[in-house]
Amino acid sequence: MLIHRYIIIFVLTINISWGQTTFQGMNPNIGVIGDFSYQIHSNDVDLDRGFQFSEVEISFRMVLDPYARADFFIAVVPPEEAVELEEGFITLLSLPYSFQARVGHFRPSFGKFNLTHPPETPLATLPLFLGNFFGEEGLAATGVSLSALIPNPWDLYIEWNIDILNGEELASFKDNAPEDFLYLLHLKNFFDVSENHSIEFGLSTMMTKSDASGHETRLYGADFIYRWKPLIFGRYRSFTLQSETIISRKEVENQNINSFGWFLFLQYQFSKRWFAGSLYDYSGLPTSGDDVERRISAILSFWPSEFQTIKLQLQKSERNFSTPRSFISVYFQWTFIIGAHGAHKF
Amino acid sequence: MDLYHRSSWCAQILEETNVHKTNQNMEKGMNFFWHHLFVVFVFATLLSGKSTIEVVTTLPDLREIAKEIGGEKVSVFSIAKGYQDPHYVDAKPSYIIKLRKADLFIQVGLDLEVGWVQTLLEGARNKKILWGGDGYVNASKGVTLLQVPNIDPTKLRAEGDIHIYGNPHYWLDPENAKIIAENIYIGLVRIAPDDEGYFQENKRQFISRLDQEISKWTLMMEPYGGRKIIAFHNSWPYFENRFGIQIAGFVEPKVGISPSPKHIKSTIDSMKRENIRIIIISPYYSKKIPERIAKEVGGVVVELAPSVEGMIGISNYFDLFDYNLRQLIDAFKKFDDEKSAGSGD
Repeated sequence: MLIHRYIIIFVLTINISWGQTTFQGMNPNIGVIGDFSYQIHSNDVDLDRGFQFSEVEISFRMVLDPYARADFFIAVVPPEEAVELEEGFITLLSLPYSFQARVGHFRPSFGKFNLTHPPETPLATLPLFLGNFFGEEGLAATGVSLSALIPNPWDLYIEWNIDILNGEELASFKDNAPEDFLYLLHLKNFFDVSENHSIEFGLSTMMTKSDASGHETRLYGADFIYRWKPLIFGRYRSFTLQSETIISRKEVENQNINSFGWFLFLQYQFSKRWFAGSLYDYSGLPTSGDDVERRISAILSFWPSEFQTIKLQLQKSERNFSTPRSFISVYFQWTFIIGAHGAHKF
Repeated sequence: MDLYHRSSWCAQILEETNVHKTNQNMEKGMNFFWHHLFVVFVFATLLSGKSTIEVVTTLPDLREIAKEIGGEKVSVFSIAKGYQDPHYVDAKPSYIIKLRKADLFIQVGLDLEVGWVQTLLEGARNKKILWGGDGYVNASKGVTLLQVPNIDPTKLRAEGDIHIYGNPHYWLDPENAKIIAENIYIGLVRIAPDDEGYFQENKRQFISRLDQEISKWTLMMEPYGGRKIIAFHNSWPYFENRFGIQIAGFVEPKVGISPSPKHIKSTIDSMKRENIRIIIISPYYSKKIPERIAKEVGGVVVELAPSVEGMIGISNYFDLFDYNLRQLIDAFKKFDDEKSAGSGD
């Protein structure tokens, strides 16, 4: 870990010293996000409590050459001071036939919510199924991704992508061998219903061998977002309805484990800087057909400027696989960003 | 064959005939379907065979200037609407479809579109219009920039959401439209060199009309030179410079930052002290606070169009200045008339 820290300090020092000389124009865009939170829970649950500095996320982003761009997101996670590569990938922008490829460690397109880094989501906690089926930070894996738009006479946005990934670090696939790749296929569709309303939906599927005996695990996902944002007063009012679901079918000796998760998230922006939201969240576990947990949350967010967000989230949780069966949590989260704040994904 | 068997035999024949007919109908139906689907695809393919240069711009002002230079050789589309805040445009995938087919992409630059252009351009998978491609035009090249911040970059955001390269609203000075036109002309010639003469003639005509209009607008504004007004957001320094008005303050205390009660009070005090009665605002900002301030000082909130299409009736670049100057002059005249009526009493 110490070596990791020295590497980061070295990279930042090089950058700063270059920044002060003629190399300033050659520096990548650097952004740093701080994610501070306070959380309390009503019962003795196995969750963090008190003040947390959940992570510091450092991003370096730059166009590499006429053919590609590169993006790195490195997280420093206290109190262990672990340094994690959240993402590090090259995107090939000028492949023939309008293909685009991504190579490295990245957040694959299984659903929509997973594509956003946890400190930048509208929630203080990730939806349950991302944690249960993939990992604490959602789905991130190493591999390659190829995508393209499907031409159609109606000029609709239809994009497919196929990813081949290592999956042994993910909760759903942790028993598989490194040479057993994970195959992901995603289809994204977008429609402008009118100038102010839009609908996006996607379908995902992922499969791999679960273990050395050749058993398979298959995941199926669907995601849906409806957005209302009036063009003229879009900075003052908006509404989002987002839902995602996952179905898992895991083959083990003489049986299949079927499990399921989904969430429904609603968010209304009622003034320039204030948002109110609610989340219903349900998830099983990939390794058990019976264990389930669910939560209901209310979220209030305040944006003093576009560089900081303060969230208050009240949450009631229930689960059938450990005690206490039911508890209430309060999360207070403050995220802030310095440096480059690049283009937003839609 | 008894009656029962005969009827059952007949029924079978009838049934088979019906099934046969149904199958035939289904077959005909399917043939009809595939035939028409084929025709639709052929037409769609033929229609997608382009005869014009597809130009996509970030703002409608650039779209209108591109239309002036490109004439009938171009078909144009603007991503942002004129009544939309250009800093905060959602990078909708439907825009990616427009950019995928574009031959020329024109942007304002200077980080105005920093929150959305990169996502769209990279998503479009169109090498021609990526940065450095023949079909990429940054319209700001050669513009003399105003309000380039001369402060330590690490303190920049203490001034609000200001732009590091300078104020990007340069299209609001019609003299800058000549530079924009030149940049677009160079871009068009790069991708369609055979039409250079046509574009050059269009550019000459556009600049010639622009010169006439600028003389007219300057003359219209001459009586109001040096008049002080307040603006909601710092979008107007190029407009202010060109037409000789003076923007004495802003309703926003810092760029993009909502006004505090203290700042509202100090704005009211300074407007009263300096006898400023006009607050200008773009249509996408809430008028609640400016109207409160205007009421306190006996003034008026004047909605100006920041872009073509910003208000009803503004359909080209010339309309933009005709409309904005008419609104301002009407407001100045109203207060002048009130003043002279007051002094007459």
